[in-house]
Amino acid sequence: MIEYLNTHPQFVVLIVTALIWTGIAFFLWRLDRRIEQLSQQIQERTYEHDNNAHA
Amino acid sequence: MKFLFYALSLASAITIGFAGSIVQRTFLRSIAAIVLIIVGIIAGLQPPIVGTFRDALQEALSNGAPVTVLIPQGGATLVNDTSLICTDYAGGKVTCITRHSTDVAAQSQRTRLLLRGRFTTHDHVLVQSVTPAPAVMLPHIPSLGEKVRIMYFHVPLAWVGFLAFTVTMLFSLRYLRWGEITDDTIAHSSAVVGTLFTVLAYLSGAIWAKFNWGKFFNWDARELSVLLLLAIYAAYFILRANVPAPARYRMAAVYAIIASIAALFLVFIVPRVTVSLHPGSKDDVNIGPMLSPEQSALDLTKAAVFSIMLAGFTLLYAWLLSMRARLDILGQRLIGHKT
Repeated sequence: MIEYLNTHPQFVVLIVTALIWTGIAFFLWRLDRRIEQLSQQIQERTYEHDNNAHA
Repeated sequence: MKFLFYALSLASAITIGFAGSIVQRTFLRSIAAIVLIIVGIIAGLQPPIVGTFRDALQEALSNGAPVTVLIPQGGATLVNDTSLICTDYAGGKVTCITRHSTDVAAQSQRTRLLLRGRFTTHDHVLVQSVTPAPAVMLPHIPSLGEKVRIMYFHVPLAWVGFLAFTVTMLFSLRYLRWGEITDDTIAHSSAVVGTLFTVLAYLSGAIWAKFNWGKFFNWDARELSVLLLLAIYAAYFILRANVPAPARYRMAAVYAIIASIAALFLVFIVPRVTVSLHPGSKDDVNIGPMLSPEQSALDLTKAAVFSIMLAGFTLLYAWLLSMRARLDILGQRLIGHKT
């Protein structure tokens, strides 16, 4: 594998760029998860608030 | 001239990225980041890398990768049926051996050519292929070959990492001065995004090092200093996670200011005063392909592509920072969500 990459440096460039975009995608995925958690917490709060108002 | 490119691209990216307020969504920030990153990826990966006969000979002597040589228009003069005198864009001349010498000479009168071949002696090249040159080409950098393209990603990532830690310091100062929680949130978000970019720069550098220097980790001064920098910011996150509010904000701000002084020292001073494999170290007269004052014919193309990536990554950082900070502020305002 290393030998192959040594003779085909374009794949080394490809691996590096793929790694960078994977890292940024991972950050965005984490951000998306936090938005989801926040959204769920707001929904729970709204639900509790509505229940209290009816009671 | 290239320093003007870098300065202008950075100034514009910072102006657009931080226009208005970082906690406000701006259309220009996101669209400029997307456009510049796409243009930068294409410009960094697509054009061929071309050099001179001198580069080709040096690579051939060190068993390096073959070099494609750029012949300017009219640079191939017919000698006989099998040979031509070829002049590269830097003025170097060699005898090129090919069965199609008449065709090559005729083609050279019309357009620039890319010549690929193998040195048989120090002034004779056995031509393997000749193709018309495209409009955009990137210059060959000795011993890097195709891997030079990594530089257009690795260096801007490292720069943005440092910029992010500087922004953390500035917003920490603002927090200490005005006591606004929003400033602390921006400082923290900037440290998160800065750590992401520094880790990516570190990993991309490690892969590059494996194929250029033989190992993923070489105990190089810059590798060590960046590792130390990451440890310093890991301590910042641990501190924030374990100190209760409101003491957390003040402690984190003071720590971030001290950490930024360490960052300045670790990024700009340590690698320059110690012996290192990176360009610009104590034993190296060359300060690196991006900062070197040496001029080559394709230097401006290299500087333009690098500037696009520099601006693109700076805007991407501003965009990610804005998203992360707005999310945290929203969480704090709505349900007292802890960051």
